[in-house]
Amino acid sequence: MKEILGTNNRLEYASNCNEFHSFVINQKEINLDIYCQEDSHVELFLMNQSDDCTLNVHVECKGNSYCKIGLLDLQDAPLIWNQETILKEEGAEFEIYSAQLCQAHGIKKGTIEVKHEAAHTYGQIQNYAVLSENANYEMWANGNIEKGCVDAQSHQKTRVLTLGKGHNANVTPLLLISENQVKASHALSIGQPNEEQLYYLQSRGLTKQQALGLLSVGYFLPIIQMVPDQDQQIELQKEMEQKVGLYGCK
Amino acid sequence: MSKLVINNLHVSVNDKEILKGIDLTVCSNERHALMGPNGNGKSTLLQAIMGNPKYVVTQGSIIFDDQDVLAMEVDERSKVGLFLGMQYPSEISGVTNSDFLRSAINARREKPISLFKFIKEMDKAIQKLEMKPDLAHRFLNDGFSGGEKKRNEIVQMMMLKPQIAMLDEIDSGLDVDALRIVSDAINEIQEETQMGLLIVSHYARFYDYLKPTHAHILVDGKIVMSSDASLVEKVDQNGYEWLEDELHIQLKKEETKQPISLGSCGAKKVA
Repeated sequence: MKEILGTNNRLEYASNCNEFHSFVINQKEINLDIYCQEDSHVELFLMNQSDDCTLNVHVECKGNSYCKIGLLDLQDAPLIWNQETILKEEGAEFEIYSAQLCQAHGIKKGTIEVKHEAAHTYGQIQNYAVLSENANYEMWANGNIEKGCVDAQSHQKTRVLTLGKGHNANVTPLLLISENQVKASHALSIGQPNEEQLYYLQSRGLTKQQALGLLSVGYFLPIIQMVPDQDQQIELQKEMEQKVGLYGCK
Repeated sequence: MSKLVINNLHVSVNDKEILKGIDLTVCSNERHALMGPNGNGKSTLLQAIMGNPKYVVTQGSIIFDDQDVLAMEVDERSKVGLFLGMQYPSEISGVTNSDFLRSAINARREKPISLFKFIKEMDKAIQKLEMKPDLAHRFLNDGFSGGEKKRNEIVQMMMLKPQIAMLDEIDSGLDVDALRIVSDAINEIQEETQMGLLIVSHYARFYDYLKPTHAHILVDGKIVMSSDASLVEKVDQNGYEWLEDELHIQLKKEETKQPISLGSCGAKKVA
């Protein structure tokens, strides 16, 4: 069951806990502070249902804690999202996955930073976005490894699928590395659907809109699969399929 | 009974004429073998019927059950009952086989297929083609071997139940056992649905399983000979060169792509 976030929220996860929580975003401004103590295992699913929101998330992870956040944003409304994560002690791991549908003339802006302050820490940023005509998407993603953070890993990937014309996609992948013995990677793709793939889907009876919708579903499904409840997954998938036009109309 | 009638079809690709007047009729329950040397237009014909935008029809007509196919979009051609098992099926990561097929089936129904019925039919098709049970959850053709991709085309054909199925070298990449499995599945579908078949293949072994009712040879964009299954045997034993003497034609050799020089290499050898 999803809880509704208030304007100011503080979540503290105790040592050795194992928690999954699902939250709804429907306020104008949300500040969410998350503290993961040693050896905690936390997975959070955030679903945007707001008409216009600024979402500020601050996460601190202590030794050997694991925190994973998934953000699903299918709303036809602006979202400004600021995500700051600090991996404070050895063994801390953090993963953030976002799936955003930016509809016609919509605006989605994100700033994500995962900062490594200790050795043997792991950070993963993955952003997926589907842009309709005249949509505006900006994402600045930074993996920041400080000196002394030996064996830290910072990985990021941003994939943007553009449909229609007139859209604006501005993605800045950044890796600020001050230590030699680390692993880091980044991948970025922004582009239109592959014509051959579209033709293949259409040759099986899907209209062009439905084919584009199905390609969009592929982008968002991994985020929805974070939700452990099968019935909720099915509901979310139906909503997503409806919004991307898989049923032929939006 | 369904009927696909192709009349004087001319097709160009990148302003080059590939098909130069094709006449062909395929009806329900018929099995047409389409043979010919590589690069002479067999795949072009099938792609043009299906509506691949790269293939431009410059003259002629394609009529299916009294409907003008050339006036239809690609998806409409599929919905009226045409199917193309492709030579090189696309790989689409992120889209599962089950989501794809369920969407394709629902696209031709007024009411969505029930999940139970869909799973039952898909499991049946997967077992029939002896594919791995996790096929439904794998991404569409992503990470599939060549043979798996071809068998997946037949899984789709089983689920979509077309009136006329065109198979473009569906036997390539199949081992001996897989060839038998695929052939059995095709025979079974035809018995069940009376679909017509237009099959492109070079190999008699595949035709042995499928037993064509008609056979055609396509050379340089035209059908130069049509007959019954005996033509398949003749080609298997003698190749295509006998056509030059018999029909006084020149066989067109497949164009081999010439390497393009990029000029001098940017790398420098340091002594």
